[in-house]
Amino acid sequence: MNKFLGSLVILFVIGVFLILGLFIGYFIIDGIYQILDNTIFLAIFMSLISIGYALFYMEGKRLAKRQMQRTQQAVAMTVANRNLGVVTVASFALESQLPLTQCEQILKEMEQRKVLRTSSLPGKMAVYHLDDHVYGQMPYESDDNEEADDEETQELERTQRIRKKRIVRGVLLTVIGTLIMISEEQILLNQSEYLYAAITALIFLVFIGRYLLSSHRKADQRHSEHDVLTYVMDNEGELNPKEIPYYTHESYQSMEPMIDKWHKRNYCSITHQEDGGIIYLFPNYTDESEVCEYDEEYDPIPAWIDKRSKFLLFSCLAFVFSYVGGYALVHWNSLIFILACTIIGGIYGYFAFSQKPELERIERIALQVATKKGGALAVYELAYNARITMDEAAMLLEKWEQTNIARKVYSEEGAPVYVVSGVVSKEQRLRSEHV
Amino acid sequence: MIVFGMIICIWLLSLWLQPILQPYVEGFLLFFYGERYEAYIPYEMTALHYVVNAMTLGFILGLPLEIKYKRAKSKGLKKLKFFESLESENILFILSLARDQQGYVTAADIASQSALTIQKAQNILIKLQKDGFADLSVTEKGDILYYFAGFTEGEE
Repeated sequence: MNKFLGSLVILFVIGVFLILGLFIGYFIIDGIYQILDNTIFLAIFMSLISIGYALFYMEGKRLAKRQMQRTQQAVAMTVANRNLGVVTVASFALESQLPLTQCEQILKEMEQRKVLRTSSLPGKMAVYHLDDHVYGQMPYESDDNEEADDEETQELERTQRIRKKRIVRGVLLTVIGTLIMISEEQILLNQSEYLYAAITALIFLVFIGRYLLSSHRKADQRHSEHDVLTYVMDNEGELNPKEIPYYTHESYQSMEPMIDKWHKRNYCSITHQEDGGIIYLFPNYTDESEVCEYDEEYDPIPAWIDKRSKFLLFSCLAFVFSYVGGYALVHWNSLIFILACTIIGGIYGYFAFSQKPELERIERIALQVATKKGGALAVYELAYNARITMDEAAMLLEKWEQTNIARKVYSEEGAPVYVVSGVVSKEQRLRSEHV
Repeated sequence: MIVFGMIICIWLLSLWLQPILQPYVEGFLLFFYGERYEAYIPYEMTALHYVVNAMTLGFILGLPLEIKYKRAKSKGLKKLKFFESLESENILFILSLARDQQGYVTAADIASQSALTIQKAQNILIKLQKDGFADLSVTEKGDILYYFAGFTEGEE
């Protein structure tokens, strides 16, 4: 009896769901046919999305290549360090699981950069030896295998992901709604208004895309330089280019132009090892120069994914805006449209050009470093502590020099330091003479 | 590439499935909703419909997958692990065997511990030697060994 009643209840529930499904399906099928009728607008929208996707594709490829090269070089060095400084194609391939030919190519490239040397005869299997200045002189262990993700970070990431998913769903529903609402006849009747709105939306989108891409590149450059400067600080002011992939997230290829530029602009000096190897010197650069600590680990790929997702969402909004804007121009007062454009432009301008708080932060940090170092600070000390590029740090210090806030002094080691006026120690204050 | 692959797959799939499924879907609509969709039926799909629908679904399904893959790959690379373009399992097995035996390995060793036949193992070893990844070595008895350097501590 109970079984019979239970089956009846299940049948009833299924029936209710079927009826509900058919009723709701009514709206869904209407929407699908409406979107199919508006395929030309969906095509415009998808072209917009595809262009945005392609724009960010090249940047992603560059980052992925850099990350791949760095990991390959770091694995080769790790294998060599584990085996008394010796690495072969076979041992490298077994550790990395990469194809033998690719491993051979990587090791040869490292040999060209004098990180590895081989004395094997032609025709015999090559045995590579890690450079003596790199092997056995590791000041600290690489932290690549550390489990950095703690519960708190994971929880934060989870809530951020949920929030992002909600935003994406909201924007997608708005786009679908727009695609259902669009009337081809109405657009053809008021072509100029809709065209005007679409061009405005496109201009906004181009500006936003440019801003997102340039801000990403700037942040990436800052993090890359900060990463290298952290290694230099841990290495007591010495930079051995051969160690870079082992201790930082940079490859030889990505780091070379950066360090070359630093040397050319006189941010650091240079010295040679007995075997001709180059060491870059950052005088008096130790953990005493540190006033700001940065714990969070930077990963360029997720950062790039976030920026690309943002741009794709803005593309969706631009599509919606071009329809809503056109509708507003046709049916409402054009003042509403102009007001909306002004508000969006204002928000963009605020994010793109508001650098004042950033400048204040950098100046405050520069003064803190100068105070800690007895009034003198170098470009790299400011760049590290403010997490900005060396060029940005040099620009600020040069500005200070021009306005007599600081004076440039060339030390014996070559790299200049800036002595900031007004930064006086307690002892100096007490020793000062009254006039 | 995941998104692009997804778009191509969906496009080909829709070209194949659309003509088969369309009559059933339209029959279902006519049965349940009567004359409501008669104006649409039979709906004529153009090339633009196929391309745009494939692009839309390709992005909706492919983009989250691509993001997940790229994040995982990036995380793996930070931990010095590679996700793609890996060496074949047979060669990796031969190398691991060589590591366990101080670098020296024979075709018989490989055949006895894997699914490879002696002939296949011999062919792989000959290829590796020809490509310069292994050296030949001969025992007193005349057995041929293949030597992979890098698995003996501190070798010169």
